[in-house]
Amino acid sequence: MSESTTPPDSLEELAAADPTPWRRLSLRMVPAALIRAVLGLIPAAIAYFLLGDTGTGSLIALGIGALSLLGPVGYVLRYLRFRYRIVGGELQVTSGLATRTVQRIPLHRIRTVDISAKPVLRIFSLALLTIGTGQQVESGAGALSLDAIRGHEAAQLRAELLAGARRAAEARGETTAPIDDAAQGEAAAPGADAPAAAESAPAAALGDGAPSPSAEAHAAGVEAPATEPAPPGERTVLRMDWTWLRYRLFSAWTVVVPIIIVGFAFQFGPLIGIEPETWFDWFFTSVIGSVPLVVWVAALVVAVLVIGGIGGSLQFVEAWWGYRLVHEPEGRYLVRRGLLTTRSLTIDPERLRGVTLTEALTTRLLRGATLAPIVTGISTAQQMSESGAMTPTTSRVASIRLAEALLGEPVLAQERLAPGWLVAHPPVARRRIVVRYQLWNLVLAIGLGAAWWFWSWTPWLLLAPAVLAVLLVPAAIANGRTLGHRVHDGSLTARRGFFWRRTDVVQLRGISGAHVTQSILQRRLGLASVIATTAAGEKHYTVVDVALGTAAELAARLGGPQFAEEPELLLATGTARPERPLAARGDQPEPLGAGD
Amino acid sequence: MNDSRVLDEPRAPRHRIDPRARWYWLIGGAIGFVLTMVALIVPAIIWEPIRFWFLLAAAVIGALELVSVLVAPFVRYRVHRWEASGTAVYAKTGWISREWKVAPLSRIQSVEAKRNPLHQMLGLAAIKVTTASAQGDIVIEGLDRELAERLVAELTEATEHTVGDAT
Repeated sequence: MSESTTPPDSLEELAAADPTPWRRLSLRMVPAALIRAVLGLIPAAIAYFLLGDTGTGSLIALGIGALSLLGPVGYVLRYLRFRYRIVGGELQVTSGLATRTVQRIPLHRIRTVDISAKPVLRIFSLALLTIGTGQQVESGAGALSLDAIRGHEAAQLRAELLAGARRAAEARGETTAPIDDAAQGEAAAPGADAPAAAESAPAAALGDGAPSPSAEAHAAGVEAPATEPAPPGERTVLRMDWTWLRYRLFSAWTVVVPIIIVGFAFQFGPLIGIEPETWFDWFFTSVIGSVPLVVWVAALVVAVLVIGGIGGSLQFVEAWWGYRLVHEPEGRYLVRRGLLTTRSLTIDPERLRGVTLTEALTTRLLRGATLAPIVTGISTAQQMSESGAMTPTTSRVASIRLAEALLGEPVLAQERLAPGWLVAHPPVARRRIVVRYQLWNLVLAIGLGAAWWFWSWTPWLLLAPAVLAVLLVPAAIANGRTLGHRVHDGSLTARRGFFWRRTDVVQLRGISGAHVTQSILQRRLGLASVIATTAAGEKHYTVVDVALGTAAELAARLGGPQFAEEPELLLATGTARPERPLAARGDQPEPLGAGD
Repeated sequence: MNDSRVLDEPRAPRHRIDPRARWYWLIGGAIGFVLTMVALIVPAIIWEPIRFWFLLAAAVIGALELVSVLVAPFVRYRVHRWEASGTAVYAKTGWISREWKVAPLSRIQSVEAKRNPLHQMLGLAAIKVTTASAQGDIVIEGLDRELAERLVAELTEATEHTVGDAT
C-alpha cells in the first residue's frame, strides 16, 4: 500500500536510472489558457458596466479580473513544469513550480483512465485524461489528471496505460500470491463468476487469468495505437434512445430548477443592480389586478414548466449527446458522451461488485429507472462527479438488461423484482413507515400553522397537510410492501423507499463486514438494521427494519457466523495470563440484554 | 446457515471489557463536563448581557450531561462485549442504541492499539480494527493494556495467513 506513491525520488535520479524521454503536455494549452482568461474576464466586465465607473465599482471589477486570471496563469505555468513518462511498469509524473514533486504510480494500480474535454479544450482538439488508481481512495488522492494532451494522444495513452496495467497485474498474479479479486471471487462466490464466463467471454478469459491469448491481445493493442475512434471488437451494449428524455422532463428537477433560478435572481439580482421586486410589484399591481386569479396561477405554472422543460432538455442533450456504452475487447466497459463537453467513463468488470437501481416516483410511473454500478477501488469523489454517471435515466427494461450484461447474471430479473421473491419485512416495520410519514406531515402542519399564527400566511395552506395525511397512507403502505431483502446466488439484494425507491444488489465477495444496529425506537419495536460494509460504491449498504433475530441471521450470512455461533478458537485470552479475571469473567457471560 | 433454529438476537460476544473502563469513561466524561461548564460560565461572568442565557444553557446542558456522565460508564461496562477468534473480530457496543459488528479476519487490513494519556494512567488500551471499507471500522474500548498488545500481535499474525481483503 505504501509503495503506491513512493517517496519522491529526485528527478535526476529517475532520469539517470532510465533515459526514456519525458513527455510534455500539449503546447496548445497556452492558447486554450488565453481563451479561458478572456472568458474569465467576462464577469469582471459585467461588474464594471453594471457598477459604473465609480471608485468602488472599478476596484471590484479589477479584483474580479485579477482573481479570474489566476487560474489560466497557473495553468500555463503548470505546462512548463509538467512531465510524464511510462517507464518500467510505472507511470512517472513530475510537476510543481517551487518544489518539484515526482509521483510514481505502478501501472498495476491503475484502475480507470477516462478522457473528457470541455469546449475550450475541444476547440484545440485537446483532452483531459483522468487516471484513477484506487489507492488512497480515502485521502481523495485516488485520481491523477493529465491536463491537457492532444486528443489522439489521449486515446493512445489510455490504451497504453490500460494494457500496461493489465499486463502488470497479470505478471504479479503469476509471481506473487494472488491478492487479486478474481481469485478471491472464485473462492467466495463461484456462482457469481461462472455465468459471467459464459456471458462475456473476453472479460472472463482475462479474469480467470488465461495468459496467452489476452497477452497477445494487449501486445497488439499497444503496438497498433488506438487512433481509430471505434476499434474493432468493440461491442455496443447500450446507445442513446432520445425517448428517455421524458424521464428527465417528468422529474422534480423540471420544477425545482426554475424555482432555484428565481430564488437566485431575488438573492443576487440587487447586487448587480437588478431589482426583481420592482418587476414583481409591477406584475402584481398592473397584471394581477386586471386578470382573474386562476388565469395568472395557471400562467405561472405553465411558465415554470416551460422554463424547466427547456432548461432540462438542453442540459440533457448536452450531457448525453452521442451516448454509447461499449464493451471493449479487453473486457472493460466504456461510456462516451457529451455534446459540448465530452466525457468518458471506464468500468472494469473485475472491479464491479454490484449495481444500484434507482426509481424515483415519477420515473417509476413512466416505467423508467436509473442504473448505477457499484465499483470498488474508485474514489468517492470520482464516483460522484458529473462524468461518473453510467447511464441517464433509461427505460426500466434497458436498465435491467444492462445490469444483467454487466454482472453476467439476471440480478434484476422480472421474477426477482416481483412481489414474493424478496423476503418481506415484519408488519411492525411497515406500520413504522405509516407513522413516520404522518409525523413528517405533522411537522409540515405545525410549520404552516405557525406561519399562519405569526406571519398571518393564509390558513388555506393548512389544506396541504390535510390532503397529504390521506395520500401518505397508500404511499406508506406501498413503501412497506416494497421493503425487502434476500441473499441469493452470491449477492445481497435489498430494496426500500417509495418516493425514491432503490434496489441494491451487492456481491458477497465485495462485502467486508457486517453490522447490526438498533436505535432506541427499533429496540422498542424489536427491529434492527443490517449494514453490509464494503470498499465499493457507497461503502455501506443497509437493510432497514428487519426483526432482530432475522438481522442476526442475515448478518451471519454477510459478515460471518459469529453473529449466531460461538467460534471455537479465541485469540488473546488463552492461558497466557490465567490470573487475570478478564478472560475468566468472560467465560460466564452474564444474562445481558435480558430485558429484550 | 441457521435454518434449524431461530435467533432472538445476535449472540453476545464472549468477553466483557476491563472493569477499569468504567473509570476511563467516568474521568473522561468528568473532564468533558468541566470543560463545557467553563466554556459556558466564564463568558457569562465576563459579559453581562448574555449572562442569563448562558447560565440557563449551562444549567440545562450541565444537568443532562451530568446524568450521562454518571450513568453511561456503568451501563456501557455492562453491555460492551468483544471477542476475537481465528475467523473474525466481533464487538457489541452502545448503551442507548446498540451495535453488533463483525469484521472477518480475511477482510481486516490493519489492527492497532491506541493509548491516550488517560488510557496510560489506567493501564488500558483501545483496539481499532480497519477493513477495506471506510465504514467498517471496529473499535474496542477499555481493554487491559497487555491483553490489547497480545490481541494486536495475534490478530496481525492471523490476518497475515488469510488471503484477500475484499476490495
